[in-house]
Amino acid sequence: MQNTGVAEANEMLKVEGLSKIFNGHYALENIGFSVHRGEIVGLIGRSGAGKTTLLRCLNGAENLDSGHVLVEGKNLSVLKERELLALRQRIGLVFQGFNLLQSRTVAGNISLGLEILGVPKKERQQRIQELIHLVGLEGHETKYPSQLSGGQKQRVGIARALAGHPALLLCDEATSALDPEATTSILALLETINKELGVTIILITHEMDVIRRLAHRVLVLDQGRIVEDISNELLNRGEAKHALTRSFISRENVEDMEAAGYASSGF
Amino acid sequence: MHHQVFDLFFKATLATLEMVFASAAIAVLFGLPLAVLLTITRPGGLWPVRPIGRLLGIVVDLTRAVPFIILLVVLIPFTRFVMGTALGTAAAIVPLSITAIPYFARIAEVSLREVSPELIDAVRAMGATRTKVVRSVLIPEALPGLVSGLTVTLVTLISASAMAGVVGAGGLGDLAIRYGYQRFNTVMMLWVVSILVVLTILVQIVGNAVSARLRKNFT
Ligand SMILES: Nc1ncnc2c1ncn2[C@@H]1O[C@H](COP(=O)(O)OP(=O)(O)OP(=O)(O)O)[C@@H](O)[C@H]1O
Ligand SMILES: [Mg+2]
Repeated sequence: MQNTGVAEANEMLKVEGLSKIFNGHYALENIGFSVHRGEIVGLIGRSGAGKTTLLRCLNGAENLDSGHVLVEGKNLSVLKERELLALRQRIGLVFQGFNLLQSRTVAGNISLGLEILGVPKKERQQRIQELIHLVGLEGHETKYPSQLSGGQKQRVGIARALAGHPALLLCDEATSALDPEATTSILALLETINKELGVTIILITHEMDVIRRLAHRVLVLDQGRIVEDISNELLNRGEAKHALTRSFISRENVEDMEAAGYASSGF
Repeated sequence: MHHQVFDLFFKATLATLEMVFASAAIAVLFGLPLAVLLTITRPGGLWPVRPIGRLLGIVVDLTRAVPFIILLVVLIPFTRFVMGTALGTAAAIVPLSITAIPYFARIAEVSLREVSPELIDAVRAMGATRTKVVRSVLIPEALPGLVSGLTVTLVTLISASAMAGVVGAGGLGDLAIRYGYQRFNTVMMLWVVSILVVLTILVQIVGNAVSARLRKNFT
């Protein structure tokens, strides 16, 4: 059977039969899903479910024990080191802990993303300014990460990730270290990036609220398996099938109630 | 102080500074790459080729285990081969560098190891080559610590250079031996010690200031 050219061009990412074993245990077991260009997919699961491991597989940072990952139709497992490095540059990464260089300013940190791509020095300045404008950090160019708030640090991280015009942005708990206000602003920024630049986004979180606000679709990961793959629309209509998905939703409600001032009973 | 005596001290101090800074420069030139290799070849490191790391580690530790005074003597043929002579200030740079390289390498390694593995992993995942990670992440992020390490190395070199006076290295150590020890000139000896102390304190103050300046932007 042959895929149509159109379907392939529209497919950003395809994962088939992916398994990853750590010390004799499946960290990921028979994972399969695909992501369309321009889609925002949320990946939710409890701690240790395998979310970060899955994201590392998508980036070619882990060797797979079975299955394969296709990014823009390219099978990561067959790429040579050099080709893999080049492909990684097409993928933006955003981290929970920001991972900024303390030794560099805001502009310097964004520059790192461009240096990795091999952008010549005289072209970097212009692009840095564009990126600073894009993430709303004007006036902070010469500050060091230690002088920034969490939300600002994450903006630098996002700008750096976008340096090479990536087609795919992978965010590992990008908002987990942030307060609610900064979370809202970062989610808005990610949405802008998706809408205006057409960047496909895969976003790990353990908060259903983040997914509801941003994602078009959610994958629920439990003990290394995808137990639910559902659109945000169906999710909002309460059509989640798996108990874990529903527990994430109800936990969110509990948190809402706590936030609204209802004391949680018991503990 | 008598003019001629002043001249003697001035020349000796210059000779000491020459020995100390030249060997420190060589120590950084060879010791830093060594420290980088020791760091990245560790398990889970950027380039975990264990045999290389182990071999370098053994060489470094063996060199460090030899007392300086013995190294001075053992290295005489080598020094003669490299410099054409085993005497004088320039010749002393050879044994001083040989002790300072592994010394600085081990100190620098400690600073390099403190750079967050998560950060290194992240930059690597962004598509950076290993060389890029070493040059743009590992060394710059460890720089304040590396400067402190260099300061410690300089201080150690000041005292080692004085010891090198024993084998005719020139400099302040030579003055102390020739006048203070062999001619029982206690005043001379005290002057030498005072200058060494002042040099050490100056190096320490400048080193600390530079390191603190670099550390300012680090959390
Ligand atoms: N390098 C590794 N070596 C051995 N085991 C690993 C390694 N990386 C992850 N694991 C294991 O794989 C499982 C999944 O880990 P992973 O970090 O992907 O979870 P996660 O869903 O991201 O969790 P969290 O929400 O806490 O970040 C865990 O049991 C973890 O201990
Ligand atoms: Mg994780």
